[in-house]
Amino acid sequence: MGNQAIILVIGTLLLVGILAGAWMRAGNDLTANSTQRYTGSVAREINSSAVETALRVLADSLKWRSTLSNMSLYGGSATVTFKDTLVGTDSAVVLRSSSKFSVGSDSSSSAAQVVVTGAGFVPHVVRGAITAFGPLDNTLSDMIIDGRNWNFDALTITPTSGKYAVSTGAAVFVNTQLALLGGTTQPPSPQVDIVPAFPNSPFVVETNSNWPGGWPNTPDKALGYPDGTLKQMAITKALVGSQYVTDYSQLTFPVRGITYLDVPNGTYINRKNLGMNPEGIIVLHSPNSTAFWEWLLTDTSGVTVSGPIKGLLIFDKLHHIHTDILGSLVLLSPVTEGLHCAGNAGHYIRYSEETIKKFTAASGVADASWKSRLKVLSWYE
Amino acid sequence: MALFDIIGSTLLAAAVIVAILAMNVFLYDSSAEIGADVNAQENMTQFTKSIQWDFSKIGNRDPSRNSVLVAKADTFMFRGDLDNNGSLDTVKYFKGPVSRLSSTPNPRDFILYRVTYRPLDTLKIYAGLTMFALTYYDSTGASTLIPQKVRGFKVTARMESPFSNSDSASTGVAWEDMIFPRNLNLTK
Repeated sequence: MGNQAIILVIGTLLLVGILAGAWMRAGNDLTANSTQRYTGSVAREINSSAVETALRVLADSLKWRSTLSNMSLYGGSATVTFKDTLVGTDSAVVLRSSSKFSVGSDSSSSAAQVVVTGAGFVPHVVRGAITAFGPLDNTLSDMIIDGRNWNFDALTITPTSGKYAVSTGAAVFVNTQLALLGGTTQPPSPQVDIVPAFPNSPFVVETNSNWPGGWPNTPDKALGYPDGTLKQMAITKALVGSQYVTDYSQLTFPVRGITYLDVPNGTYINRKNLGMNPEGIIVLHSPNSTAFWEWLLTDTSGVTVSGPIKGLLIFDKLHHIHTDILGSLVLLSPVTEGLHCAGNAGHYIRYSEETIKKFTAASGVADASWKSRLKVLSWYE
Repeated sequence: MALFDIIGSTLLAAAVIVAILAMNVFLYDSSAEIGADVNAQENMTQFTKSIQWDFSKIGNRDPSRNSVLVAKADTFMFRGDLDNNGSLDTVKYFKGPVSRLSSTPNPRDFILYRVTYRPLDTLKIYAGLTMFALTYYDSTGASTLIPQKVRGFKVTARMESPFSNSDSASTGVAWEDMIFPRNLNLTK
């Protein structure tokens, strides 16, 4: 009986051992599965963070091409390389990121390839075809002010994506000189395009416009750049054709890139033109925002007449606009007028997101987020 | 006394043998159950990997940006350059009927088909799927069935052992994930 009992006990222990072994193996397999999924997820997260970091770096400097090596992220590491490429005929940058994360002997890796190109942005200050802190009752004259979203060709429109015709910080707006005003109604109303007309629709005019942080009193603030950025870019010709001048007479033509007229307070420019087919970011500014350009013209002296000024115009004060503008006009001075200026019927100011983005993209300066500075063409991970 | 000993020993031996047999059955059942669970989990790990690999590439290098072609609860068809070779691939996932897998003991499992076009290739996922459902969301987070509006989706799946003949889903592993493919959410 004693031997039999021992045999039974040993047999039972064997069975329990087999059961414990099976449970242990199953437990190990389950843990291995979990660990594999965990390391894979963290490796992907590391990769995403590395790509986000690289996009931020690229947004700060579109010319950045140095490899970001072995970035230490969340207990793992990642490396991102940058390389120029072409997408169609457009230049772009390929970011290749690889990441690795290990827990004990378990290791996972992840990779991504992102193709991006520079993308411009429409500064927050631009709320209409013409945006001003001061009143605009007379400034518009009998022009066509159109806040619908015109394309760079100045012929076609991207529907329901425009702005107001007029945005002013003044409490009231009276269209004293029969300007034709059109634009796109803004949220929360459904966005609808309104063809320029007189009398104008009230939905294409914004009064009492409220500026978070106050109205920008410098061109840089208007763009969301650190003060001095535009001036420095104009001086260093960061964009081809840029120029920095302190007097109109120093301007050279054609006007391209960033054109910065940094003039003394109270400067008055009268009946001057910006040459043939001017374009870019064009600034007229004095320290107290009191520079005044009256009668803005383009070159109409030859057989070929200039096309519209294409770009973003940031002037202290502008009156008598005897030319066309495609993009947007921002006036910094709170004292915008006091004069009547009828006589430029047929000329237009057309809001154009594409035009503004074209030049803000070229400026290569970071806005708050890389998402407004870069356009992701594809993201493979 | 000797007779009493013999009867007692016999009863005791019978009790021990019954206990051992019961333990053997228990061991077999629990080993099978654990094995099925581990198997289902391993299958699910592989399944989720391949789903995430596929779905994260929706819209990659698709200039149309309308990369979701069919958005139904049991059928999902999309376009994207899955292998990043410059050539767009079209992929369709759809559930087969339960009756197609009537040969397995599990009354709930079905085949999930993954069809790619040009070249035509059909992959049948047999691994004990007992649930596969998709819910689609637009850019505001509202659910939608309009393919052009889809910006993300929730995938819900459950896997069990194909050999489980229980009427109720007693073993298995469930998975749910929200996926917002990067390329469906790029600025146009």
